Amino acid sequence: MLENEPETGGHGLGTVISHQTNLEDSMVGICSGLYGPGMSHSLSNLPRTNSSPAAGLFLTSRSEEFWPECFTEEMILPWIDIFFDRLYPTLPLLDRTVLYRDMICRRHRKDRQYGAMILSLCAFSLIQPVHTQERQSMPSSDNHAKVLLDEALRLHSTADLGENPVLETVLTSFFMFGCLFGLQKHNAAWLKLREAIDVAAILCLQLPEAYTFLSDLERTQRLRVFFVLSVTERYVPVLKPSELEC
Amino acid sequence: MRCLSLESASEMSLVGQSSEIDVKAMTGLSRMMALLDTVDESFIQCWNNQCGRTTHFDKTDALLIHRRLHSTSFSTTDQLFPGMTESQEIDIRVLGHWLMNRLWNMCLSHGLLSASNEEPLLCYQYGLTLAQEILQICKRFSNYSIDVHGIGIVS
Repeated sequence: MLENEPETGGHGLGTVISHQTNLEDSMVGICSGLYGPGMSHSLSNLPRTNSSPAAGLFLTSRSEEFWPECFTEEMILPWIDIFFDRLYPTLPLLDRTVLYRDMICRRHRKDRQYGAMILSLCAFSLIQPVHTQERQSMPSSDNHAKVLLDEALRLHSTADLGENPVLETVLTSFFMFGCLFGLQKHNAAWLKLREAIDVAAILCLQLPEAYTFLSDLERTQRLRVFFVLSVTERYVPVLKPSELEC
Repeated sequence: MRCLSLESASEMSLVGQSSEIDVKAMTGLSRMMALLDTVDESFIQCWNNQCGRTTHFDKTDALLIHRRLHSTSFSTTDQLFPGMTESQEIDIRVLGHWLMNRLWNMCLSHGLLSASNEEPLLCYQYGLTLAQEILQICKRFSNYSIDVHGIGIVS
């Protein structure tokens, strides 16, 4: 997965990770350097260029043009943290260490499908976990999620979607499903879940023999996705019966 | 129609044993899958109140699903599953009781309930029993663990 070695340098050494206790030890040092003090989640403050204080680790290049510049790494990493801190126990879809490693390597800016997955994961994270004290910020979170969803869709959707899919394609569809479901758009959500399941079937995730020659890491990753899709496929038809065509 | 069958999932769990898969997370998912598989696909229209309430779903079917749910679920007095997080456990417990509640509602809408019956599921007061049980469950867990499941958990 590693496309090149992580770049070093950068600023923003303040450790403002709010839920750091679950971070793998090896990643704490790296990730704490990605966050700048005073980090804002407000879209009104979105930088239009990639010159944020913490951008040293994420220098841009021409191959990164598809990535929406309004979403800098110091913005999206806390949203990714939300996923791992709150949603991961029931949706163990991704390995935290591997994801952060890929982020450090700027894979989200080089790999279009991976970038779509990251954006959709962030949208999903903003919608799903709601603590009592956060209810007031829900409208704002919903708006952020919609923008993220639109950007993820821009990277995800191509005329030949599904022709040569990768696991990130499945994950993107799944995260979009989760986000749309949280936004009460149940028909659109159901469509995305079907898309995720169909693409998973194209990848033969349901066939044990398809796992034979995979590395441990890849096999584990695919199994995570397969199990979550299997549960969700059963969950959704009984969850929102009146809105869904089952 | 389910594309990703339980049979496939069972085989997949064997595939995973040789890898470093997160056993805790996968155990939770397997429990949820088993619970959801108690809902027979042939009754999904009845389950979703789309059958016109004129059909095939009878007491025998209801009791069969109930038995499956009971054998897959667990009582409120059970100890925490070793190694499972609070968040996972409440997810599974609430799902189990929610499915029981839906089943009881399906019995209600199909005219299968009565004031007294030797089968608790087929009694009017069973809905109250389920509500009391879920209240007990929620009292055992922190608000934080309940909150992370979002507003959906109370709907």
